[in-house]
Amino acid sequence: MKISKDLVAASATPIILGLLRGGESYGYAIIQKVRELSNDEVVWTDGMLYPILHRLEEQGLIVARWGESETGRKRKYYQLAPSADVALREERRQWETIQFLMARIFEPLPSQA
Amino acid sequence: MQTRFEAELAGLPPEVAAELEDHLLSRLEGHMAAGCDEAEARRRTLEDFGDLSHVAGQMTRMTLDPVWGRRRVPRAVRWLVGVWAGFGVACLGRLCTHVEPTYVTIGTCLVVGLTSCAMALGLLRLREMGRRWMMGYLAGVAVVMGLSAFAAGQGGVVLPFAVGWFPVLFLLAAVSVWVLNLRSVRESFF
Repeated sequence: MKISKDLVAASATPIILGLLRGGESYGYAIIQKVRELSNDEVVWTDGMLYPILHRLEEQGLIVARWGESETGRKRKYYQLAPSADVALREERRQWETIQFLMARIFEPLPSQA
Repeated sequence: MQTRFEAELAGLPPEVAAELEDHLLSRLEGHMAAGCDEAEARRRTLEDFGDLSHVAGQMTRMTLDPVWGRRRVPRAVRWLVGVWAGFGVACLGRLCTHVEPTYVTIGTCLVVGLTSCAMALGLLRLREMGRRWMMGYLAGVAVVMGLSAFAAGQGGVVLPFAVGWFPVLFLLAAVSVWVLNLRSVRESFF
């Protein structure tokens, strides 16, 4: 199953913020984690992640720091900013609403029951 | 392995290039660990990434100031400089109304303010780099400098505030760094 581009774009921010709730991470690891958690159903183009990370950083929702990878390369790590809690709660509320709506919409019709 | 994407990343701001290079090399290593030879791994890595020049352009635009074309100053630093510039102006205003300003008093006042500001910026940078022990070291140096300045201040230099307040200035700077790390005062308090 291929997730549409529009849905991928719309869900990227809450997915990233949600993943960073578990602690700091970096671009490549975030992409791998999304793939793993979705059982390979959600496969992001690698390049789509970075502009979103930079936008979230500019918005103050995530904070970046430079560190080193296990092989000694420079690596940029991201973590949630303390002020991201509100945004994250709001994102979650919105997606739960959509999820609830979709569940209602796709309930079997009376004629099909 | 560090230079395998040099051509693709040429001309980008260093921090954009470094972030993309780390990603590309991580992906390359993944493909090679899965059994690809280097040429095939490289081809797949670039294919996985998508339009590299487009993404790099987007990142560069977000990194560079749209007006000046230079690296965009982080919001925390803009606030920091603003707060300390305001503080400096307030000090100078007080200086002009309470004592006859001389080059020595104005100069000393500016040095104290600029030193505090520089230390605050240094702390911010060290925090970004995750060098917590260096932050402790810098704080220690600041206290020693403050005590030295306090001793020197007994020599009769007229200031709008006692030089002994230097450690307090530094602490204010340090606090402002931590607070402003939350990206803006509004986001910190509301």
